[in-house]
Amino acid sequence: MISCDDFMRELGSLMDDELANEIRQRLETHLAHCRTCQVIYDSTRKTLKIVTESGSFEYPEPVAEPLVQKIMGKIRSACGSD
Amino acid sequence: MSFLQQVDLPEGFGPFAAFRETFGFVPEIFRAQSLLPRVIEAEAELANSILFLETELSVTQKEGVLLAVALANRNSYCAAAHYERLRILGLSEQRLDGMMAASNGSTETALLDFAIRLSKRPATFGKAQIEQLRGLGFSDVQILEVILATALAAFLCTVATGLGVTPEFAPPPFQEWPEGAPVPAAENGGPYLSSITRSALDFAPFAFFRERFGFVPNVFKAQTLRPEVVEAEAYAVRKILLTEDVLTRFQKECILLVVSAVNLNTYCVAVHCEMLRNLGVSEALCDQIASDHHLAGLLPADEQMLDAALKLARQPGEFRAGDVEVLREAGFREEQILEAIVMTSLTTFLNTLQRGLGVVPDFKPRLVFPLKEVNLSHDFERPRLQTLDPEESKSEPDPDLAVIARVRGGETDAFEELVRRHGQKIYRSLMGMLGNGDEAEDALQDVFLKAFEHLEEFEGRSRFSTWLVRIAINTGIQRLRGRRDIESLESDDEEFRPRNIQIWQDDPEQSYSKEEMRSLIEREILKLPVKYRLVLILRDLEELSSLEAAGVLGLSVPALKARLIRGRLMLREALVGYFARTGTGANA
Repeated sequence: MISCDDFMRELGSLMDDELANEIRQRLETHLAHCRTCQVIYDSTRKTLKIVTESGSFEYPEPVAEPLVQKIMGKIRSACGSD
Repeated sequence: MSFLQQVDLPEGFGPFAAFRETFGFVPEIFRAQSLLPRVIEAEAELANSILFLETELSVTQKEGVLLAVALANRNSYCAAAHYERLRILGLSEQRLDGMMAASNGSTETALLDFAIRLSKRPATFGKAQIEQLRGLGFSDVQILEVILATALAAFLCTVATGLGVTPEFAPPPFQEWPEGAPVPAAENGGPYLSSITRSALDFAPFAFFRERFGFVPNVFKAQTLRPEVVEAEAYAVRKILLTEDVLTRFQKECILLVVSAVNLNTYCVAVHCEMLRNLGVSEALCDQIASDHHLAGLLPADEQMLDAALKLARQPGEFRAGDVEVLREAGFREEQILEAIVMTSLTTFLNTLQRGLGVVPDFKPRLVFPLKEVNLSHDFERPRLQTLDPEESKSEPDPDLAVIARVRGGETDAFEELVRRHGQKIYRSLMGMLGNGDEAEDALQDVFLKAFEHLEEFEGRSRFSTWLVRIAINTGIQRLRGRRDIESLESDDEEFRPRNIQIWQDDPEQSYSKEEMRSLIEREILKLPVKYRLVLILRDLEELSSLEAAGVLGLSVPALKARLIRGRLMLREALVGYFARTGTGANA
C-alpha cells in the first residue's frame, strides 16, 4: 500500500504524465480511497489549468510597433549600420 | 604506509570497530582513507552486504573469488589479505594451492575462471559464462553473488593501487591465467539473470534513485535478488558520488564518464552522459569528454585528475606515488586526491557489475563502442567512439536558424523578424519576474540587444527561443538583485505541505471574468518566492520541457521537478479561498 507521503512525492510526475503504468495504477488506487489526496490532486490540476489558460503576463497584442522600432533602433546604432 | 596523509579516527568509529571484530585488526586499506570517513562507511556497507555474510555462497567461496581476482590483477595487497583470510577461515595450504592453479575443470575453478574473465578480460565474458555456471548447478542468486564479489574485488584492487598501501602479510605467488576468445556482442543480449520487480514506491533505494537521478538505472534493477546489496549500493552512491564537500559532482561524473569510456562500457557511458546532461552540461560537451577530455576545454587541473584516473583504471601496474604527486602539484588537496581514487574504484565496480549482469541501457545510447574496438589489447589508447544515428537524435529543425544566418551574414534588419516572433513570449517571462510593465519593456530591449550582440555565441544546441528565454531569465534576475528583491536562488527547497483541504468548485473559471481571473493569478504568482516562480513561468507559462527549463536554470531535472510541484502547490494554497466550495472540507 502506498501512503499519502508517497502520493505527494509522485504528484508532479502524475500531473505531467511521466509515470510508468504500474506506478500510475497504484497511485490511482490510492486516490480512489483517500479523500484528502483526491482533493489536493483535483485542486492542483484545476490550478494548473487556470494558470495556463489565464494569459497571465502576456503582452496585450503582438509587441507594439513603437517598441519593435525602439529595439531595432538600438541594435542598428550598436552595430553602426544606421 | 600509503601515498596520502592519514588522520586518527576516534576509537569508536563504527566501521573500524566492525573490522576489528571480523579480522581482529583494521586493514591498512581502510586506515589509509581516514581523511574521508564517509567513504569508509560506504565501503564497509558494501563489504558487509557482499562479502562478510554467509549467503547462498559461503564466505570461503566469495573470499576465493576476491583472491583469484587480486592475483589475476597482480595486486599484492589484496592477494595477501584474502590469502591470509582464507587461511584463518581454515583452508589448508594444499586446498589454497589447488584453488589458485589454472583452470582444472572443477566446480570451484569454474567459479574463479568466471570471475577472472569478468574482471580481467571482460571482452571474453558473455551469456555463455552465465549458462556454464547454471549448467554446473549454480542458482541465479549465487551467480549474482559471484558477480558482486568480482566487482567488489575490482573496487578494492583499484583503491589499494591508488593509495599504494603496503601488504600486511606475505603475498602468495602470482599465477598466469589463460586468455580466452572474445565474445561477439551480438550473442550477449541481457540482462542475463532473473530479478524481482520492485517499485520506487515500496523499495527505498529505488525511491532514492528516482528522486536523485530521475530514474532507476537498470544496473540496480538487475540486482533485486539481493535487495540488501542494492541498499548498500544506494548508500555508497549517496556517500561517494552525491556529496559535494570535496570534489564537485561535475568532477566526479567526469571520472565516471572517462573511466567507463576507456573500459568500453557503452551502458555506463550512456548513463553518465545523461547525468551530466541533468547537471546542465550540453550533449556535445558530454560526448567530447567521453571521447577525449583533453579537447573538452576543461580546467588543466581537472584534465590531470582525469589522466590519473585513467592510468589507475587501465595501467594499475604503472601507477606510482609520482602520479599522486602530480595531482598535489596541480593544486588538489589530499582528500580530493583520495576521492578521485575512490571514484575511479567505484566506476570499476559499476562497470564490472554491468558487464557481468549484461544490463541494457536505460535509454538509447548515442555513443557506442564498435565491435572491432572491443579487443583484448591492454594498451592505453583511447577507444574510438561512434555516434549512433546522428539524424535520429535531432528533433525538428529550429525555424529561426534561417533568419539567424541572414543576420550573421550582415542583414541586420532581418533581426526584426526575431523580435516580432519572440517579443511577446520574452515579455511574458520578464513580466512574470518583475511584475511591472514599464520595467518589463525596458528589460525586453536589453534582452534583444544582448541576444544580437552575442548572436555569434548561439551554437544551435538548444532552440533559439530557449536561448532567448535564458537571456531573459538572467536579465530579470540581475534586475531583481538590483532592487534587492530576491531571496536566495540556491537555498535548499523547503518542504511544502498543503494545509487547506477544501473541495474546489467544478468550474472555478466561471466565478470570475477573464480579466479578474488574470489579475488574480498574476498577483498570486508574483507573491511566490522567486525560485518557485521561475520554474512555474518556464514550465507552465512558457511551456518549456523539463529538460529545457532545467538547462535554462542550471538545475538537474529532478531538482526542477521538485521545485515545480512545490510552486504549483503553493499557488493552489493561495487560491483555495477564491475557488473552494463554501463549507466543504475533505473530512466534511
